[in-house]
Amino acid sequence: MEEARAILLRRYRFSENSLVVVWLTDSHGKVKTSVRSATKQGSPFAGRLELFTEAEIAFRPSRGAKGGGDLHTLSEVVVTGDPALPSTYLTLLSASYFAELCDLFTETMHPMPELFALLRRALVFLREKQPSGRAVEHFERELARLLGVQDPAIPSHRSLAAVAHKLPETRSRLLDQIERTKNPILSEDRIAEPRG
Amino acid sequence: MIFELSKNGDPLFSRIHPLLAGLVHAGMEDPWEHYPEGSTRLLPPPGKEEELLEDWRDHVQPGLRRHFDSERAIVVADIAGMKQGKGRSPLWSLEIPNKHREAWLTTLNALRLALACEHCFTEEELSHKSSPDLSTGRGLALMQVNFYAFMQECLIQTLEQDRNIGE
Repeated sequence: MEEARAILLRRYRFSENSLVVVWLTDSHGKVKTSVRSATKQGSPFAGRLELFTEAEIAFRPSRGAKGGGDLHTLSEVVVTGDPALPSTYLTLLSASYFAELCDLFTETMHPMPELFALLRRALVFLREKQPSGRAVEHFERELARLLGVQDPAIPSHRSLAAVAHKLPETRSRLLDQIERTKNPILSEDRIAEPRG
Repeated sequence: MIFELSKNGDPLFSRIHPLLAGLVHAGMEDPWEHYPEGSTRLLPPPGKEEELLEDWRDHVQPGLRRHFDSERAIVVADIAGMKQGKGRSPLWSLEIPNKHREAWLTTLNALRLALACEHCFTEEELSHKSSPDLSTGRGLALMQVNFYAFMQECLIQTLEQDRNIGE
């Protein structure tokens, strides 16, 4: 049995009642776990597998791990007492973008404790403050630095895009929403006067 | 979120959760600007013949775009007028004047089409059979498409009621 402190990055359906849950952990890097009967009533994991939740997890490594299997079995989740993220679209977009970046730039079972700490700080920030362009830039700069691809001469997102080929499309939507929040009539200026 | 008619008889979405209010605000997005691939579906050219295409690009498409932009301007103005309640978790409300319903249907439809095309959503995904993975841009876009479909259903319901009364 392996244990780790983890943040829930992604969650998607595996079969009718089962989920695949992807975690970023402090000690094992990205970990993919299967959770049988997760969506059934009375599941021991009910209410514990919310996106971006931080938890202590235990998982049974895949038997085929030596041969490259990377889907482990989740056996325990103890959620930390952190409050949930504010339930706004902008916060959800930000958290999703950060999680997508972490997913994109990590390998399964390849520890990157600094990246775990970065995501953790980002989520703490989102619990307390409204997302901003500076926060997004800071996350990208730190990520580029941790990955060793930072070039002070160019914006960090370009360095990251050069490595990943393409950044998540959530980025442009997020920046656009941040801009709109700062200046709600921005998009109205670009188009014709309303009729009627 | 509650859908009903306001005192004026206009469609009214009230008690809108901040998350859904964010999706309504995202309705201000210009699909041509934000979804370059998806928006190609919005004004499909009439054929492949070069001369016909040129005429269409010069004379038809700009007019259609202008019409669409004026419809979208109405929606943007309505969204800008959304009201937020007070309290710890303030809920929003959106009143859509009856005469703006067609503009809303056009704009929401265009956004749905552009989003669905941009993300290559399958029929199964669009028919609500699978819950979206909200940790990805694709999942968030699917939530947006499904939410706009719900808003459209509500508005169509009121149009049909008007037609029934008219008959």
